[in-house]
Amino acid sequence: MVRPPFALIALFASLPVFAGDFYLSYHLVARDHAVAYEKLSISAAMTTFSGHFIEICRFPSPQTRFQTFAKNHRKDLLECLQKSAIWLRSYETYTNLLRQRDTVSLRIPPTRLKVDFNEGFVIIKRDLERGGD
Amino acid sequence: MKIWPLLVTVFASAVLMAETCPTPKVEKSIQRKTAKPKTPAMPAIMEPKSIDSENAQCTLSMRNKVHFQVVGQGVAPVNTISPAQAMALAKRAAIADAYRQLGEKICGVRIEGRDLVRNMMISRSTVRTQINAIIRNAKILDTRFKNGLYEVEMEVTIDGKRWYDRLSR
Repeated sequence: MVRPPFALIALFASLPVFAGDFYLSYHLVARDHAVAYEKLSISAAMTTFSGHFIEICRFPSPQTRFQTFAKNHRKDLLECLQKSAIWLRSYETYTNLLRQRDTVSLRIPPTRLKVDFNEGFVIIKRDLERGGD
Repeated sequence: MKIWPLLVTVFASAVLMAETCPTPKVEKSIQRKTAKPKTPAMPAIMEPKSIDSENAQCTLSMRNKVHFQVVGQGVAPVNTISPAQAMALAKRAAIADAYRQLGEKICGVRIEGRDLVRNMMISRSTVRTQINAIIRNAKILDTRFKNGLYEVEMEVTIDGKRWYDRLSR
């Protein structure tokens, strides 16, 4: 009657080894086609998020810390999040028919993310209900 | 023998109906004037069929998809510490420019114009444009870097099945 522990092992193997809840925000300002300001902010959440989270991207990476991952794969992470949703604001001013300044501001408002590190993959899930949009 | 009174009443009612409900008259003289306009030789581009078909391609319906494609351009700032950083920043700027162009196409541009007149002359004329948008699911199709200019080709697809109901309200 001794049950083999395979079921237990399979259950633990399927669970994410490391997981965490984070807030992420991003702001970029480009003036006259050149980047003037850029800031990516990541903060660990103090309480566990609840809600409906949907996977938005998955990256192969051996890292188990989101901050390190974001530092090394900043470009990929931003492309994934920008694809999900981005707020755009742009101004352009012409005086006496001459262009004075062109400003584009891209912003990802503070967004709730669940990050799982599982079997060499970093899985990023986003809260679509309260994702800042 | 009883058919005659019936026929007489039918005839009388027909005459009355004809008087009270006259058939509409077509004004032939006006139709003749408008029917034959002088048609100058029109070039092929001005044909109404070609314009309609072009508009049909750009119009969103329940069954079609509309693609918005733009090319954003970015240059590297002057104060960079390495060529790699310059290239990365140029790409960011190009992406921002591409998003702005998408915003212009999809959401439109708010324009504000101001003219300052002094001594009956325009001394300052200012035009300010503004775009406010939230853009989702923009795809980067292609990127290229040449002569210090980074170009990003970007596309947004609007599916009629999903968006027609919301946009037509």
